[in-house]
Amino acid sequence: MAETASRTRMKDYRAHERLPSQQEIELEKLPSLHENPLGSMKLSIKKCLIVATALGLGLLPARTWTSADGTKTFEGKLQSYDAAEGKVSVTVRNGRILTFSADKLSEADRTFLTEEAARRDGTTQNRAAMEEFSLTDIGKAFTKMEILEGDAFTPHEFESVPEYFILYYSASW
Amino acid sequence: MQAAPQLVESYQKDVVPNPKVEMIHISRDRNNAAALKWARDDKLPWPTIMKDQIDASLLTHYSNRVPSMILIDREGNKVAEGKGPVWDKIKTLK
Repeated sequence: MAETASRTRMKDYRAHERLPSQQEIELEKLPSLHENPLGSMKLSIKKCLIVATALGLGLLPARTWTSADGTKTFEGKLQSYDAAEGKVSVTVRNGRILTFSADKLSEADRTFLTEEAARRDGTTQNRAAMEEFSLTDIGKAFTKMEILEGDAFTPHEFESVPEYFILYYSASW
Repeated sequence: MQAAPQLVESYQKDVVPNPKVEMIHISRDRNNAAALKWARDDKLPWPTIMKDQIDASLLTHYSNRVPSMILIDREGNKVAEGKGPVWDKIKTLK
């Protein structure tokens, strides 16, 4: 099970392979508001380690982020959110990745992060359950399912693992 | 033997909306072309496993009768057998 979960996490973090496992970011020294959209918020993150335990969030569309006091906004794509550390990584439009504390963001943004983390956690658990099931005798028996799409059979997989299966033995003759 | 339209209707009504259960057609047709023709003709909505894939799996152990219907759990334990008992059971799985 631990091995299964580990493999699942590896898949989930594939999007992070573009990120270095350790990265130093000093937001106060970024040269302009364009590159440092949080500007005078004087973020205290220095030499922040983006740890490998960060929660992967896949490819999400760019969104508008708002500072905690509501005075500043910027556009960027969420790269990762480490709920345990409270650290957020966002890719801004010049491709630069900013990492900062979630508490620098508005309540709406923090709610978004929490919901995304929960959604992703559910997906990860589902994938882990799917992988675990695929290794069982019953799971192996269901690896060759097909379903009618248009005029042809196409390979079919469960979106999530049901608790029960109706086996319907039948034929056309 | 053709799938009763009532079975397709029951599947759409009782199985599709319930994430706890799925029905898998274990095809006993001698070849895949016959199974495909039947699926096309009757617009069978459920997943199918072809005979050549079944013969190498434990699915052969549950039934050698056609038609037959067995409800199993994830561990492969038989929970109910026959359409009436199977449907009675899945209606309790909410």
